[in-house]
Amino acid sequence: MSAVALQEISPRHGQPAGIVSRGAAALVDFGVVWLISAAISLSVDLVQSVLGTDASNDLGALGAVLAGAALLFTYLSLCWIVGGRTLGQLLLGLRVRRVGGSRIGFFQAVARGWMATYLLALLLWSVVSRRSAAVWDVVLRTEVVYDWTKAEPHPK
Amino acid sequence: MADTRSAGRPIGPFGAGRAVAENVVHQIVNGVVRELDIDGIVAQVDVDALLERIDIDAIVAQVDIDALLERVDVDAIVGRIDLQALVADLGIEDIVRQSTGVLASDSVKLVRVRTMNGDVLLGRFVDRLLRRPPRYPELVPMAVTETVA
Repeated sequence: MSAVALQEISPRHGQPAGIVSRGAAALVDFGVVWLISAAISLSVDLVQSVLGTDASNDLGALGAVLAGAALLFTYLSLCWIVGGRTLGQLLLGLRVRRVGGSRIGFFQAVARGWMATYLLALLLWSVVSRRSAAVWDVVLRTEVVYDWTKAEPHPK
Repeated sequence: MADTRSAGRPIGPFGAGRAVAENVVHQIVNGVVRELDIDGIVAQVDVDALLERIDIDAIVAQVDIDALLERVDVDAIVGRIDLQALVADLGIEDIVRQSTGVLASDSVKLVRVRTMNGDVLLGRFVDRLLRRPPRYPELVPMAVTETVA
């Protein structure tokens, strides 16, 4: 018996996603980054305990926030470079692309990752934007659209 | 040499008389049995009272269950069951695969649709406040494509 899979397309496929979907995806991504940071911290503690070194070199609150932000920046940039979507956006059925539909470029992905990490409040602009664009979308000419398919967007 | 009948029984000096006597006895017994009302006799037996006198618990207690089970070759019985054919007949694999797939798919789809509806509601609300045309057009019917895996 051949397995027939139904691949559904979003009823608003290709339309710009609003702040509710993007915010939900961001929450998922924060959770993913938190898990990664916890795994890294646990691994470091484990190595220190095995080597018998002193574990008193805590980062402190500010250091932890900075390290977490750096991790988030790296995670977002890598996800957008590799697949044009983070894990949260994959779950929510969203995709980042250039305005016009082509795949996001390397520098766009990195710049977008940096702004989405350190200037997160600029996401609020998507509430009033005609195309639900955050400030970094306006600056970098990118957009986040509903896309439930697994297919890659048009090549850049 | 003694005379014998077809049944091989020797006929002695009183053989003929014995045969006659046996024949008479058989006829008497058959006649008695014919005249007996077996159904009537059985009907007079109080079966319930008889069963009450039987101590079932005592009988069961005498049965060595362990020894009985040891004589049963469970492995041989299980070995004769074609589990794969049984599972195939029941279609368990299909049921599990379909139910888990549908559950996962439905949960994800539910989250996607709800957040999307949230986007549309918020967007239309803001657009109305700003007195401009809505950014989200009316919903088109959902398209479904089939792909054979």
